[in-house]
Amino acid sequence: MPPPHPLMIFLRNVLRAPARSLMTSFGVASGVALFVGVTAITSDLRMQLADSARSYGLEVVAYERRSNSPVSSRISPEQMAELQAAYGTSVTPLVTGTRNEPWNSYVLIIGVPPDFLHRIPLSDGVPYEEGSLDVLAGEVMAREMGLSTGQAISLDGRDVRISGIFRTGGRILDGALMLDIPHAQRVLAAEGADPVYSMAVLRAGGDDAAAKLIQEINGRWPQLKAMRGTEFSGSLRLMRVVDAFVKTLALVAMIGTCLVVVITLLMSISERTREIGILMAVGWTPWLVLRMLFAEIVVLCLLGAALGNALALAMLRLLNRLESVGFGWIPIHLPGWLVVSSVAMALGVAMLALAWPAVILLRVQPLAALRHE
Amino acid sequence: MSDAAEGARAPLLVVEGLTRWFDGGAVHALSGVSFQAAAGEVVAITGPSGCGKSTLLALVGLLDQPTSGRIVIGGQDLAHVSRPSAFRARRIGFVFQFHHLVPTMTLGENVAAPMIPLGVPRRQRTERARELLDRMRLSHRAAFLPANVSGGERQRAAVARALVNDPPVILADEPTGNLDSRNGQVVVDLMVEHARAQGALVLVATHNPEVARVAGRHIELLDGQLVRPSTTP
Repeated sequence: MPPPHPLMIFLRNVLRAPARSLMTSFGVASGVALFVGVTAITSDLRMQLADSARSYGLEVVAYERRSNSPVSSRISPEQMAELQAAYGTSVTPLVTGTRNEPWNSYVLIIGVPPDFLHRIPLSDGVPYEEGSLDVLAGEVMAREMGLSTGQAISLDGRDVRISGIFRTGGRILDGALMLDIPHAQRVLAAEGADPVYSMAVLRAGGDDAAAKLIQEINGRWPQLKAMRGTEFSGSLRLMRVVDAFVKTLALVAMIGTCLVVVITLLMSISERTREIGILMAVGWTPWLVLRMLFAEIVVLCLLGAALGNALALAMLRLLNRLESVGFGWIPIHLPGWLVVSSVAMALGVAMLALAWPAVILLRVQPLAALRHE
Repeated sequence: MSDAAEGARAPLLVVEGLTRWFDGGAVHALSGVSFQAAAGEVVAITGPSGCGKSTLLALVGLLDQPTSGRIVIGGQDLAHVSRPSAFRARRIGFVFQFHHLVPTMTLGENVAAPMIPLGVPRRQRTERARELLDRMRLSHRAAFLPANVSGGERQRAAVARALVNDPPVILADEPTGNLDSRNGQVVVDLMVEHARAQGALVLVATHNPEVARVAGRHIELLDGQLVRPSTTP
């Protein structure tokens, strides 16, 4: 008969107070779910924007310096004309914004030049016909809203026809409606306001050329901010705020989780004082006892990490179904690095939480522990 | 054993002027206790409750520290032992009145527990624990938790745990106090048999005259002092 695995002892100890163990794991799971969920959303958003920039050769992005997001960025027609005069066809103007329509409360609209519309790969329908009021619907939006080619949808009080369904591979883009720039400007402009652009993307033709172009735009148009397309998301004030929020949340989640685990460990030590005395009497050092407690708490934390990831995934999928959140903004898979990070976080919590019980254990006198009632 | 015979063998345990006070000197648990014991001896420590028997065993087992006096085991002064845990694991085997087995460990795991701090590999630990349980006629109970076996079986497992590292000193504090006479006799026989076979010193604190009778020597304590040192029963 093979020797019983030491894990069995840890499991028996974990199961001696099943309700408490479960609550501890749920405590860890809550912290992990919060961390994983929020990090997944922000990192996915950043990755999608960077991927789109790479896929479409958007080497340099220029937007309004004081804006917090591309949606709120305003570039006047004069400024755009200057950019186009300076850099010619390498400049692609873009218009982005959102609308609340009766058929969908959060419609992401992307206005692009006709040549860009022609380049977008379609999974259904026909390419955009220049000058028409037709729109292209992203595959994710079409699927979620049950839209199909040839169908009419209401946009800014007018019926427009979906001429095709496009697929870029990026969920955010595929959750949007794509139309030509004048049409998007009309749909998105406030009543009586002049039509504006949101940003300009530029092809530079290599890393060095991109760096030079960025320097030139930032020097010549101080009201604009230019940067590499892949760095665009990280530079947005909104993203920086979200990042700071995520880090704070992760810290709070870690401290909260740590406290849950510390309380569990202290209760465990208190209840098992005599057992600890027995083990010390037969030669166990406080560190060996601590190692046993660590193994138990690792079991609970790993369980918590697994539950937390499952919870985060469920939460993300639920959010993804909410129309008000928008299509494609919420990831429905967790990247491997995030799962590994969350497990590392849970193990970090277990190690941190061990500090206080370690101090208590080092002070335990075996005789007093043996006589403990 | 006579004093002459005791002197003829090199003492494994030397206790000199051992004193232990509690509560800042308000309670004198032990006062100037001195005796010696050799390897292979079974020494019964008797006396009424509160006379200092358990305190003496705790001091010899490095579970407590004396107020004054000296204890030497195998030539090593316990005051100079830097790692008491390791010393206990190698040199001391404890048998308590209430078995004191860890409830979430099986009998096999409990018996193997003292080998863990010595770094004995898992397979070897299991084999050795099985060997001891076999000797205690408990091999069929190796995978049982203490709660699922009888009191006598628990105490026999506790004896196995005390013997598993072949310690030269075995300290038993009322090992039969919680057992019926038949089981009590079995436990005592096992310890005596081991002492004889392995040349270990067994110090048994007991109220039980049957246990005292099998001991080769008898130490009686009263109010923390030796009243009848080094006598044969």
